[in-house]
Amino acid sequence: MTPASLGTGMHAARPLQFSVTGGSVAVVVLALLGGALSAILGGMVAYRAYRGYRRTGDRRLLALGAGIFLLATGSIALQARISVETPTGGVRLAIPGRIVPFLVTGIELIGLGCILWAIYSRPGSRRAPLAKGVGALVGVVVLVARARSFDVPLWIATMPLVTALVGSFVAYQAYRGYRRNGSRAMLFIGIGVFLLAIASFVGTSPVILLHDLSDGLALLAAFALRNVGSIALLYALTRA
Amino acid sequence: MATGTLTLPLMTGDGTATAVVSLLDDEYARTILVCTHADAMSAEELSEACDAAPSTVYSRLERLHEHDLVTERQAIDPGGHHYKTYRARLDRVTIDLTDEGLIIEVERVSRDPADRFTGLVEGLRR
Repeated sequence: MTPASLGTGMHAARPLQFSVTGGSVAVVVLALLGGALSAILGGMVAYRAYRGYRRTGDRRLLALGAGIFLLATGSIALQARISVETPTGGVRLAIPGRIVPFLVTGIELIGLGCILWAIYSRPGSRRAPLAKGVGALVGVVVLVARARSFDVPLWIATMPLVTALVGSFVAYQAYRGYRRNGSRAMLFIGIGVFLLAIASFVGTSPVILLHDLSDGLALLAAFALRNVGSIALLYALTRA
Repeated sequence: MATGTLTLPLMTGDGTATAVVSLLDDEYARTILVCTHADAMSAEELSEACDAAPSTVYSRLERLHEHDLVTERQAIDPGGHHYKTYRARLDRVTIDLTDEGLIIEVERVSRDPADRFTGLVEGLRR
């Protein structure tokens, strides 16, 4: 198997060969695609949120924009730093890379917290609502834990599941908005948020629970989910 | 946001929009709306905030609730007793004078988070 490497300098030990078996090339392609999608989506939503805020003065638009931005671009940390090394017999993540999915989850959780705040806060409300506080706090805790140690204690390992659950709830509200208001955009917002929220869970669970399962496959699935999710959100904001 | 729009030819017409406008003429009703804009409050708290008798507060709350300008919720105090809290739903009242007459628009905050979500996403799409 040819090692496919995507690091901060995009260095490759050998040039990519297309006769590779296993998930290596596919992972890199999906990662690059994902990076491009994340950048486009992040830029677009940030611009729209700012423009909407200038127009209406509603802070919740900024919060929703920030939430989608974090959800979409959090995984860039994963895509920029992943390094796939191949000992004989399989694909393994390097030790620092092993932590990165939880860093991504922390960012995604903060993003979901922002979205919840935007939905549940009332215009003009001065109290700091609970939803954003919880999401942000959990996200910060994950980030701090990551900085202090390269081990992955079990309680941090549950973070992707929490993100998946919180994201599913947000997606459910989006789906209800679609049903109640006939807004197709909301349907795709729901699809996009759901896929982005479960991507971390899909990408990390096998790593923790089933050490003999190929990490490459889980990574592939996670990237694929993220890419489709980003496309759904882009569609929701433009053409839906 | 739910909008109730009524067109009134020359200021006569049925109750709702004019009732809302005349309700806002009442200073206790205005105080109740202002106090409950950010936080839900009980009738007792509102009585203190308005410096008014509970009966006055109750009658205003009933009229406000009748026109869907406040929402009622059940809360539980530390003793385990149920009591009601109120939250303003009114967002905006617009009065336009046009060739067709006076148009009064009453905008209320959506009760359902799914509807607020939809409204926000629409704001991002524009």
